Amino acid sequence: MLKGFASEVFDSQKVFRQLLAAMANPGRIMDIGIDLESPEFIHPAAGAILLALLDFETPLWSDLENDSKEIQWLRFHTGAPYAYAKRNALFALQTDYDALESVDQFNPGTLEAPHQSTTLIVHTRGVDNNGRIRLTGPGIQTDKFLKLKGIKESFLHQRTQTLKDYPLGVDLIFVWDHYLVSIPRTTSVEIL
Amino acid sequence: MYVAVKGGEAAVANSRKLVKRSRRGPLHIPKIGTDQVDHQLGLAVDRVMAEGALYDRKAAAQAILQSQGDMVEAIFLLRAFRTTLKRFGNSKPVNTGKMQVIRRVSGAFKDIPGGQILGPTYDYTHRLIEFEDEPEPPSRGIQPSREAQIDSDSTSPDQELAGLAPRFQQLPWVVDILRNQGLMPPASETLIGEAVEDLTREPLKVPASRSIRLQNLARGDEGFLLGTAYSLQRGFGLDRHPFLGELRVGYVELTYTPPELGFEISIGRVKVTECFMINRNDGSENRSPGFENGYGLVFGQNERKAMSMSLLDRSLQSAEEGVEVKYPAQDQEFVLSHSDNVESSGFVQHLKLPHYVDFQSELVFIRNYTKDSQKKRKVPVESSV
Amino acid sequence: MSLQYNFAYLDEQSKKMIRRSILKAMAIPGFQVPFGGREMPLPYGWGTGGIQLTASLLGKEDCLKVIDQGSDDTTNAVSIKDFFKKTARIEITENTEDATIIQTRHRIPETPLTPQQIMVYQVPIPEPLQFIEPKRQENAKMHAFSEYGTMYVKLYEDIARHERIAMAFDYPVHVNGRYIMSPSPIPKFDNPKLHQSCAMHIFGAGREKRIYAVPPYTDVVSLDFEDYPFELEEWDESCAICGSDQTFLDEIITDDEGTRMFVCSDTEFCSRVRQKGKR
Repeated sequence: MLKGFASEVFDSQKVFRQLLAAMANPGRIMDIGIDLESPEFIHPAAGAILLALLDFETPLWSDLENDSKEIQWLRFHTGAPYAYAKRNALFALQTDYDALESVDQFNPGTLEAPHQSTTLIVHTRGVDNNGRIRLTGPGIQTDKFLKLKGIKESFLHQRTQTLKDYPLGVDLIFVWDHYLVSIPRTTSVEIL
Repeated sequence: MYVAVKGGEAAVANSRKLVKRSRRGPLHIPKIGTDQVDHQLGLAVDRVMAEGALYDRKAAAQAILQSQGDMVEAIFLLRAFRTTLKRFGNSKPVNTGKMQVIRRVSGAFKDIPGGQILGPTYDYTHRLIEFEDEPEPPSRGIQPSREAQIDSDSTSPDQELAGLAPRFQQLPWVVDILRNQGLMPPASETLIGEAVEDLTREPLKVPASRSIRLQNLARGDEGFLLGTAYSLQRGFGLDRHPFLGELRVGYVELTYTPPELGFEISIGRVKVTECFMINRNDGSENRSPGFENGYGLVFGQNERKAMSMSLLDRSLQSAEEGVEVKYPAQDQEFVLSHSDNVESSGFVQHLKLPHYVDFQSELVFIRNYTKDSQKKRKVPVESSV
Repeated sequence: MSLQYNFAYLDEQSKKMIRRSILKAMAIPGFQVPFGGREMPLPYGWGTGGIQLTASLLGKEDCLKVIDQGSDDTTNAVSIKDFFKKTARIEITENTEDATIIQTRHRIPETPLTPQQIMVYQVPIPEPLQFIEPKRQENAKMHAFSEYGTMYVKLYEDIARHERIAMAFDYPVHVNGRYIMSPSPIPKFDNPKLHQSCAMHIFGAGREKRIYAVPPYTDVVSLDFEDYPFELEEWDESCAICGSDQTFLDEIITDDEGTRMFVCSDTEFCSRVRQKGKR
């Protein structure tokens, strides 16, 4: 079993602050800011976010099997229960970006409790700011451009369909290696 | 030339010093220890543990000393300590039926199976201040009190034969007599094995489940519960006289199953007060006539609180039973949001903090407003015809 | 009884829960996220919400500023700084520009904020509809369905009676065109600083157990009517110490006759302006 954070207190704090900056500034690419060795099929950024946020109160769904060493690693370090249904997940980890078609089956929350929604972490083949994806919305001064390698355009189109349901929605965090970038439910996405 | 007021830091430091000094008092008077507080102010310790929501006599005694006997302050200290404690699991629900009682009374029946035990109570003391110091009893040769016997871990089989309730043996509840006769609905399902909601981890939502309501009331301020329950008795929510089914005070055993062991072990015992309050119910569309009960359970010996709690447990079921909610004591949001004295004491007293920015905004508003209305008044009023 | 408290007092599990709530709050600007607020060693109503936020945000490299009524030296600000000095041993500053986290009660600094800064607000009553509809079940529905008519009716009644909107502080705002939010009891003078601010703003109500947030570059509009637009407090005087005429002024009574003078409520800003003027 790989170890988790070198320092539970300071590493989780660091990762959280990087993630918060990403969530407050959609489209801004952040480094997780720490060294972390994660199991084979999880990017360090995904591993770090989940170690920093999961505990026994946060069910996690993933396309990785419950008995995979990745999920066992997360469970060992956080105690998070495994959600077999996407709907029951507070956090979700999609490692196979090719298979990602829509956010439909994840939990968008309810009108009175839009915060009880799934936060979806998605692996990519790379992220940079030189793409055709144009982001606008809260947290973005004018607009922000993004390239999400491996993420299908059809997925982003499908996600746009859900914007009308705001404040319901699924917040997205795309990861690659040590990097993360967020597209929360308030962000409008156009593909130029 | 005016210079902005400085010195907050020095003032705070001095104030803390003054607290320490006034807490200690004159140095020639001996200091009190936590042992003395625990044993000689035991009911204060009980209250602090109940509202502090932590059964730790030593920490509660220390909190009472540290707050100079200001109970709400001591409760606050204990709560702040409690938050930092790691939880390692949930105990099994306690079986109060197997309580080792030091006191047990019923107001509804003259004699009850297992007997009424008056035990230690202030009920029949005459409230005359005993200015004369009582002579200390000789330390040897007297029969220890029932509680002292239960309290000491070295209770011998002889003592138990000498009239003590057997340890943790089932003692029937008075309400079960009514239940067995079909005059009261059966007790709700036990919670064993079920996940227990936890008021201290999830913010309160109303309507709240009964389990959350009871947790809230058990931690609630004794004075608030008493006053609110009293309002029920005065007709603000009850239309007839309630009866005390049973009140018992004693020790219950706590058991826990450590996951690594896989079997149940006893991890100690706590003193509690349990109360069943009986109300008559004349029946409605979906209920047959009979009796209903309200339940109270608090840490330590605190009968006033347990009885108030059981009255409120009943009245807070009003909405569920289709009874019109007309009075504060029946209103879940009113009772549950205002029962916690750590919250209410903090918020009422925060008015001591400076608010001069907000007050300045109000001043500006009122000055401009009065200026404008004066201007208007100066406009000559046309004489009416 | 000797006890080692965790860095910044809160245990890691509580921090995780608060951090998750902060992230959700940031994703739904202006929505009040209920959270399992913990008892803090400072009283409710004295900044427990802000303290829990700060404790969950703080790292070793942070530089913290705490103000109350705009001043670094007010007793409660001093007490909160002491708490973090003791439990987190981080750097404390009075200089607004140096701070990475600014915990505040009732003011936003006059010095413009930077994109790296996080504002943390202590909130007594997070619910902007509290005095219109105190029942949580009801006001939650009003937010859910954007049923804000009663709020506008209240403002309209103000205008009918006083020919103006009669709120001077804690003046409600509309966030990102969706939620009506309490900006906490800041004077309405500070409301415009929230609109399209480059910093992030996080609000914590400990007793009421809610967290909400405004991300950077987000619309924050003070409620008003076309014919009765939102207006700021104005003073005829300027600051008696630094001479500023663009700041929020406190009124100081200087003698028994009630002679008044006006000085900046933001004491750090005031002394910096005065230093500059001297040079």
